Amino acid sequence: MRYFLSGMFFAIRNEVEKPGEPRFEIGSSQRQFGAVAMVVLDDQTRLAEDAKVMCHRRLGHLDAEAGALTPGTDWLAKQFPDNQTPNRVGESSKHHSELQMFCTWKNLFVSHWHAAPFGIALNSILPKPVAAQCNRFNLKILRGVAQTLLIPLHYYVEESKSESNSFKDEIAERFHEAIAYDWSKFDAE
Amino acid sequence: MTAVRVAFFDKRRAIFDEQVRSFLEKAPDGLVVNLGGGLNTRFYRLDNSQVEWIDLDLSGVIAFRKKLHEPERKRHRMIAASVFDDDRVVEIKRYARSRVLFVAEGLYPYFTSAMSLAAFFTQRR
Repeated sequence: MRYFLSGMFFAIRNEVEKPGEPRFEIGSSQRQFGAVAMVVLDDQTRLAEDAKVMCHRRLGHLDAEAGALTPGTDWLAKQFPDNQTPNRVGESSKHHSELQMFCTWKNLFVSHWHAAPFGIALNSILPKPVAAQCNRFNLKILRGVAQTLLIPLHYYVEESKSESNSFKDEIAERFHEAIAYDWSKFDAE
Repeated sequence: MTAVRVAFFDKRRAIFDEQVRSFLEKAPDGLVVNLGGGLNTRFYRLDNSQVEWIDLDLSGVIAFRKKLHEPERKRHRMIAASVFDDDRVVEIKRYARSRVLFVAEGLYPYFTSAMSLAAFFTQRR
């Protein structure tokens, strides 16, 4: 539960009170103590101590990050992978095959981007679920997108679609629907 | 585990939504700069018809987002830049209102402490 809390309590408030200058507020929390801003920033990076959070952040780097879990060690002294590029969709053979499966229907018939009129005609004769799939992005479009972009979107949409919550985000749901990605992999981990 | 993750992201979203809502109550026509916004749709949830909103992220992210064909609003801008980019500050100042709120919901965990400090002081400018 630690990363729940650490997400909440980073607060910085900085105001520039020069005449004629806009008032700037830098903040994102309920607590607003400028004096602890630096400490709080440090806590933010400590999210990395939780391997599961790291898993969210940079999928596939768990081995490198496991060392951060060692009790009593200085996480900064380790080879902290903050300079690593997050995994990107479609750049590994695994992702490629997953996406290829997802986009099979579209790639088999006609590229929406090169022959839109045929694509539309094709969608009209395909079964509804397949037609919907064909309207999604193809592999070329999605490739190179950081998976970390998709994770919050997925969970927001999960919450948005749940009946127990008043939170509703139709735009996020639209994004979610538009992106051809095997979202179930986030639920399976 | 999925339920825990959903709860985590929902809690985080709620906290940040509340902060932005609180800001907009004080400054309905203020400027909100969403640093590392990604595919965040907070603008559409909290739009009060007056707020000026900037979603800032790296160029690849912005390019991808534009392909999603989200609704266009004049007060919603997407700027492709790094939080360490000085030119970004100039760009943001072009739209500055009397009050500005910087939101960094999922940004700092990606940085080392030094990088976080650098971003923080860049924003102060």
